[in-house]
Order: sequence, then C-alpha cells, then structure tokens
Amino acid sequence: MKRYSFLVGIIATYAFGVLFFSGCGKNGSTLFYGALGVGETRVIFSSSNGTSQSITMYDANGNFKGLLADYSVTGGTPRGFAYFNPICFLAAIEANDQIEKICLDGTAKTLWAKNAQVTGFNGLLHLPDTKRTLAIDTSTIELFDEEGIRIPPTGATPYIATTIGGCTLSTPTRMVLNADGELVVTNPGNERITVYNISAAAPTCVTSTDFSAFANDPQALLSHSDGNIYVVTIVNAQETLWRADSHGANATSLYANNTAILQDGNALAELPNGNILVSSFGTDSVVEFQTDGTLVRVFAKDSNTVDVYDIHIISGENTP
Amino acid sequence: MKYILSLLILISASSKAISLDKSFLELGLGYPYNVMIMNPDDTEAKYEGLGFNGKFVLALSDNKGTKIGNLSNIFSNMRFGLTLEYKYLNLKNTYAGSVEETSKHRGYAAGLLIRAGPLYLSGSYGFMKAKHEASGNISGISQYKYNPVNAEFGFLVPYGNIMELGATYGYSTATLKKTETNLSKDIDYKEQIIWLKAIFYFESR
Repeated sequence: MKRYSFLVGIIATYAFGVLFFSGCGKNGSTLFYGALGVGETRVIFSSSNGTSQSITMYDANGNFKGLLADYSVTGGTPRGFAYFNPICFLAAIEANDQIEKICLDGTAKTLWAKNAQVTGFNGLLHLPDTKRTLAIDTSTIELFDEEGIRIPPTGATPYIATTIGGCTLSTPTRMVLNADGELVVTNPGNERITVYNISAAAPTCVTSTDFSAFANDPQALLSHSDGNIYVVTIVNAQETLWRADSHGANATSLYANNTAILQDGNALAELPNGNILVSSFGTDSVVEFQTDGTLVRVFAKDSNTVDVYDIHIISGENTP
Repeated sequence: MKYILSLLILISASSKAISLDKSFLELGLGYPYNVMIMNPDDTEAKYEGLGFNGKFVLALSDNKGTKIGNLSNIFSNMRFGLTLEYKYLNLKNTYAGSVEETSKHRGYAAGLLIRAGPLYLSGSYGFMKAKHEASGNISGISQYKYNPVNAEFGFLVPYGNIMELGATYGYSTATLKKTETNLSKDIDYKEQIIWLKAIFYFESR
C-alpha cells in the first residue's frame, strides 16, 4: 500500500507541475525565422490582372513557396514593395489608396499607411538611414515615418513636388537609391530619369536624364550592387534592358527586341548572386539575366506570374 | 568535450570504484513547458510538447543511498555516475496564427550524475539535431545541429527492490550557430522540461 502511495504521490506531483507550468511562455511567441526560410532567398511578386490580384512568394530557384495575400475577393491592386523588417514588407495597394504591411509568418495583412492626400500609390522605397518610406503618388513622391504617418500628416505638401528645379515627375513608376545615396526615379511620361539629393530636409534636383535618345518610356529601375543603374524601356518595340551610370546616363543596351522573352518589363530586382530578375509583363513571366544581358532562364511562369508588377527579394533577415 | 568524456570513461573503467551492479537505466517522460529560440531580431519562438529520454548511468561508487527521511546521511552516501542519454522532443510552436510550426529534436548527451539519497543532480553536454517544419500560407523546413549544456535536478524515491520513481526539472541552453540555421547571427536556445522519471537497477538494491 505504501508503494502505491509513493507512486500516486509522484504522479500527482508531476501532474501538478505540468498543470502549473502549462501555458508558461505561450504569450508573445513568434515563428522561428529559420523555419520560414528567412535566412534563405525569397522572391516576392505582386501580380494583378482582370481576375486575380495576389502577392506570392518563390524561392531562389523559382519554385512557388506560398500565397502571402489574395486581393481577388477583398479588392485592391498590389503594386510596389518596400522592405519593412526581417519578416515583413510593405505593399502599395492601388485602388484602396493605402500601404499594407505583409509578413511571412502568416499573420493577416494590416493597414500601415493611408492618407487623404495620397490617392495613387505606386512604387515604394525604404530609406535605411532614417527608416522612413517613400511612396510614389500620381505625380509626386510622399514621405512616411516608421509608423506609417505621412510627413506632414496634413496639407497638400508632398515630399517631392511634381517639379523641383530641372526635375519633373511625369507618371513616375519606380525609384531607387543610387550608389551615392541619391534618389533616382523613372518617368515614362516624359521619358526622363530624374535624380534628387535627399540628404537635406528639402530635396533638390541633381539632374534629369533624357532617355528618349535611347528609347521610350523608362519603366523598371534597379540600383545594382555593381554601382550601375539598370533600366527597362517598354514602348515602340524598344523592349530593352539597359545599363546606365548612377544618374541614368550613358546607357548601354544589354538585351533588346526579343518580345517572346522580354515584353513590357515592369520591375527589376537583384538576386544575391548579382543576376537580375525582370518581370516580363507581356509574357506573364519573370526572366533572369546576367548583368551583361545574357539570358539565364525564365525564372518563373505560372498562374501567379500573370502581370507581375513588382519584385521584392529577401536574401537574409537583415536585408535593408 | 567528446575526448574528455572518453577519457573519463576509460579512467572509470579501470577504477576499483566502479560497480556495474549499481548502475541503472533511467526512462523519462517529459513535459517541455518552455522551449525558446531567440530570433535574430530578439523576438522569441516558443514551444511546448512532449519529451522522452533514456539514460544509462554507469555507477562510479556503490553506496546504497539513503532511506527516505534520513537526511543526515544524505551527503555521506553520495553516489556518482557517468551518464549517456538519448533525448527526443516533439514540439509545437505556441504561436497563434495561420502558419503552424512543429519541431523535432533528437540526439545524445554525456555527462555526470550525483545522487544523495533521494536527491538527483546531473549535468551533461549534448549533441542534438533539430528539424523545424512550417506549414500553412508559408511552408519551410529548417534543420540544424546544436550542442546544449544540460542541467537536471529532482527527487527520486525507491519503489520496490529495483526501481526508483520521481520527478526532475531539466534546463538546457545552447547557441544555434548561424552556419547551421542560415540566419545572420548566432542565436540562443533555452529549454525547460519537467520529467517524470523511472529508474531500473540491474540488480536488487
């Protein structure tokens, strides 16, 4: 009988411990980033056509990894992306006139920024030094703080007005920081690449490069780690991938006039190995090139790559 | 560490103090109530689940231990042993979201055990493998190896002639190397487990 008392006592003690500690540390758990592949390369696409609007994720080999957000039912047109933190990024949602935060951990997308002064969200850009975010509006560029509050919160005063000095924004689509920390913007509307000094509180025009001498409508833009700017032009059968200097000048054609591969290049992104991804809007695919314009492969082409508008690459959880 | 433990085993094998008769096999059912991995941005991934372990203890001294309640003799009856342990953890992330993450850890540990009457105290160094699987909107797999330092203490009391039963608290800590996890820096791993233990001696005590 005494033996059974011991046994019952021990089991009771253990059961008490389990019950006592059950739930300890449950609150505030997040997912292990390693299991999310955050330390590996992940390629994010925004895709929108007449029937489907979505944000999807692929691995470095072009394999589909997951659906991050589906706007087909709720409405909204995903456009440009920007870095936010190790597992979250920002997405401009046109039509809804807002910026949403989307995370790789499966949490629901959340509204990050919305302001009555901004009605045409398009390209986005994270500024690593200030942790602020720039957003292209219809013909201006707006600035948001870390919390998604517009600067200034009210009033029709954009961060970069339509015209500053010799730089005029005209249907701007993409913006990047060049190797000198200047802001570079593509303007298909006036066939120019405008460059701004944003080191001071008030941006100033550095230069405005006329791209019509090379081709029409500079659309996609990439600031590559090799120090150059890469541009895709999209009109008048000039479906061309260009390499230019950090101000968009001295452009050299790298890949042109093969619309079966590259047609309406809408977005550019740099893979960790330096190769370039180009969304080919017209062929509903994403294509990989070397920096000399050599075609590597069709990176992805499936139902999620229809009309890819922007590409965001996560190559490690500290990627800015 | 492996070489030190190997040397200890060789030394003890040649020692007159060894008494295989008082060596024992220990089985444990564990409740990992707080397992935590610190992500590179200091957010915490927390897990709960079930654990199993089996531990062989090679006795280095043959004192018979102390009867319950006779605390005055506890320290004069200390017993020591070398341990070789196999551990398995089946865990689930407590995160509440549309992605589910499970994790399995398995591996070995070698160390030392001290018994003083009902008291149980051990320390060991482990060689573990872990596999995490995330599924849901996002899917992914992460596998890595790590080397935890383990400590365990508790109480076990005799039950019959060849058994002891009891409960222990186990604590483990490790650094998960960035070369294993593919993350940007080394990160911390901590583990707290309540074990229900049963000890089986190879002959009557």
